[in-house]
Amino acid sequence: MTNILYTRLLLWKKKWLSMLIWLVLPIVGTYFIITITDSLQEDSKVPIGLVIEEQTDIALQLLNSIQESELVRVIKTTEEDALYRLEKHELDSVYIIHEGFEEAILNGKRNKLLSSYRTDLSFAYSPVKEMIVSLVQEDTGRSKAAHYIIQLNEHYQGENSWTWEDISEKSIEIQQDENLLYTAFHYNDSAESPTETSLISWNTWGLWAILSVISTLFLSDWIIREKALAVSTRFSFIKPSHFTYFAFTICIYMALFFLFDIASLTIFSIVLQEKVTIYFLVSLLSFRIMLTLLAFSLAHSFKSSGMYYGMAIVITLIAATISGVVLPVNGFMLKGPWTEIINPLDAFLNERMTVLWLLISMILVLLILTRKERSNA
Amino acid sequence: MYFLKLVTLFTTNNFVQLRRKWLSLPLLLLFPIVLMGLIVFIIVHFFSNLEDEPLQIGLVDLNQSTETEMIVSLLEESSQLGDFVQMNRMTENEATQDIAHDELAAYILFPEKFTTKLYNGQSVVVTVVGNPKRPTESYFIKELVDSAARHISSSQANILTINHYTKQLELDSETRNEIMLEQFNEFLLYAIGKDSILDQNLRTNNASSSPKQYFGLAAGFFILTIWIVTIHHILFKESSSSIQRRMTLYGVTGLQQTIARLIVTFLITLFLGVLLFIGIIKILNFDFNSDNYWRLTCLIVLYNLGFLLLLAVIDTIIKSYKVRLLVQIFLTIVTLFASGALIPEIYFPLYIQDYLSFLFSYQAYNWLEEILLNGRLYVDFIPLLITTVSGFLFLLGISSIKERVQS
Repeated sequence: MTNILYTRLLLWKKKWLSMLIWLVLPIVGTYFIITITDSLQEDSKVPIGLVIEEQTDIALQLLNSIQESELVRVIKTTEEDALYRLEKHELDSVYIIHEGFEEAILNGKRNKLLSSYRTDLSFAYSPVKEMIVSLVQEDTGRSKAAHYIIQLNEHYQGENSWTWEDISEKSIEIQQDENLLYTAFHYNDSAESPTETSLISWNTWGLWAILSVISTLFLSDWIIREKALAVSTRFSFIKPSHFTYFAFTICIYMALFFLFDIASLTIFSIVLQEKVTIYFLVSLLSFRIMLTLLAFSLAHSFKSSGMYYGMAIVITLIAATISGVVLPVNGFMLKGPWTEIINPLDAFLNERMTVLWLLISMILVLLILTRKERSNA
Repeated sequence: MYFLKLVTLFTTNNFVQLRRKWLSLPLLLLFPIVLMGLIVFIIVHFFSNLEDEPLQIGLVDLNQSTETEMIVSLLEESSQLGDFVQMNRMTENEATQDIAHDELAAYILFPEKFTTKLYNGQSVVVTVVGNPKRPTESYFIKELVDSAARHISSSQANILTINHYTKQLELDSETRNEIMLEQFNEFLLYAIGKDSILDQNLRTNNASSSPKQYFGLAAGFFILTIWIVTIHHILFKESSSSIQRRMTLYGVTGLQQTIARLIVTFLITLFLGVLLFIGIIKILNFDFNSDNYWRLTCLIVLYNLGFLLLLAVIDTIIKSYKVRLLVQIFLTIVTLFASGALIPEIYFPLYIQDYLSFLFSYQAYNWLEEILLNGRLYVDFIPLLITTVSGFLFLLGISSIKERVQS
């Protein structure tokens, strides 16, 4: 046994750099993908076209508050140009502040103050629309309240001389002084709220699992090389049998992989604030064993490593697609007991222990190893 | 001359190599199409699921006052928060249980003394409790509630203003309370009818194109790119160092083999790519001017060359086969992202958009969009041509340096 370990270490020493790159790929890759999408998301703004048909105070105020929003990048232009650029999909959507905007607001009118144009490709239309509507609504609501108060004053013959300006100023003051309505968000299973929710939020362990698939498959190419070696006929003459040699080497690799799994666990819990529980550790271990054994079975059925690498990429792409890690459809995704049957990653991604595929992979490896031994005998 | 002879030799050799794989080749070429199909299936499934089974959201009212009662029944009856949302009134216990059974996407909690605090100008917290199994949906609902809260809080400021002035009117408290309830009602309805501010219009993007065509083009671009990588990958054969040494004695360089591989991959993917795009044009009924066929072909030629040169440069620089593959996959993903086929470039941050126009995949995809979706009859080939030529010169330079280092 120590001999096998010793020779393995000698082999590793020769290509330690390449191995290290593949071993840290899941950790580094996951971290980079998450931080890069986060910073891109922060910096990207939706380009919208804004057409102002009148240069009044209220209209310009609205323009200012829209420009201040972090969501959009405002392009002021003419209606014709805006619509042309919208059709070319250079703008996400177009908003037009009509002539008579201020007058309508002062009179407490609200209907169709603005026009909006969008296309089938306006992916960010609804949040932008919500934002603009809520800004206009603030103005119109305030005006409505002022009108009501003045009317009330007249109705009860009060001696106060309140003006529209006074009242709307008071309303702004109240809204600013007392930030009145908050919303809070937390998940059912924990009292604390998540630090930041964003539209594209990667599932850390999902990404890690996908990258682990490709790194494990690529690191399992030793099987192809070693089963084709000329020395393999000598198994009949040396002490460790074919079975023990391969079984033990798989175990060595598994230990190495798991070492780096623990490293990723530590790093993710520190850097990305992922929760660590004993149960998760167990499910990670079961996932790792399953993955290594499946990679062995797959590699064993290939003769050329070129084809094997190609297959590894294909499998990774399919796994990424069907497990819903890359497409932001988790939760909506195909549910039911059969997803666990077709997708080996499913159990791990749902934070359960991998049982079914662990059994399948063990049986596969046993079959491969024992069959070989018989044919050698 | 000798150089060209060797290149032709390797080229024919590569063709022979491909012919031997005639069985697995179609399977490999089919793969990206299957993958695209899978993605489309999942997305369509997702949206139709959403339509069939709207998101279930619970409304928990701990306050039980006339006002909250009103809000809850309004939310329950109308689909104000969106078409995909179905709201139901329930108790907190029921809601927690339903989330545990994964029947509820989230629930909204109106706290005790909601109304009293609202009238007195104390701050109120409306809590959204999400289902941890469905983070995306919970986020979506949180956004909806946030936008509703913005409306309510501006309404609330108005109600408080009214309250402030009515106090000065010396009315008896009963009348004032009545006025307040009435105004609460009024402003709630007003907040909910917010969309009447906008006169919403739907435009179609340029004459003929529909989302189907838009996504069809993107899918075609993806498939072509994956084909190029696949065939480039198949043609690579690792030769042992002893054979390599023997070959150098015959004057064989790495460049000749790289160019031979490039030629074969280029010819095959060009043929397949043109077929693919003609297929897409016919199936999705693009309004395509027949003058544009040669422009389309030229664009595919330049894109294929550009991308293959990129792969060839990586082949020359990185020795380890596995690391090379990793880098190539990574660059393929970057190429696809930068083309704007996945996410339209207008949504990228400005500092990225500035550099995008220098990238061949962005140029190629942009012009493909222009002639296919916008029906333009013009393509500016110069930038793409410059990129391709400089890529080729770069490859020559890199491989001559490499050759010298080895010898």
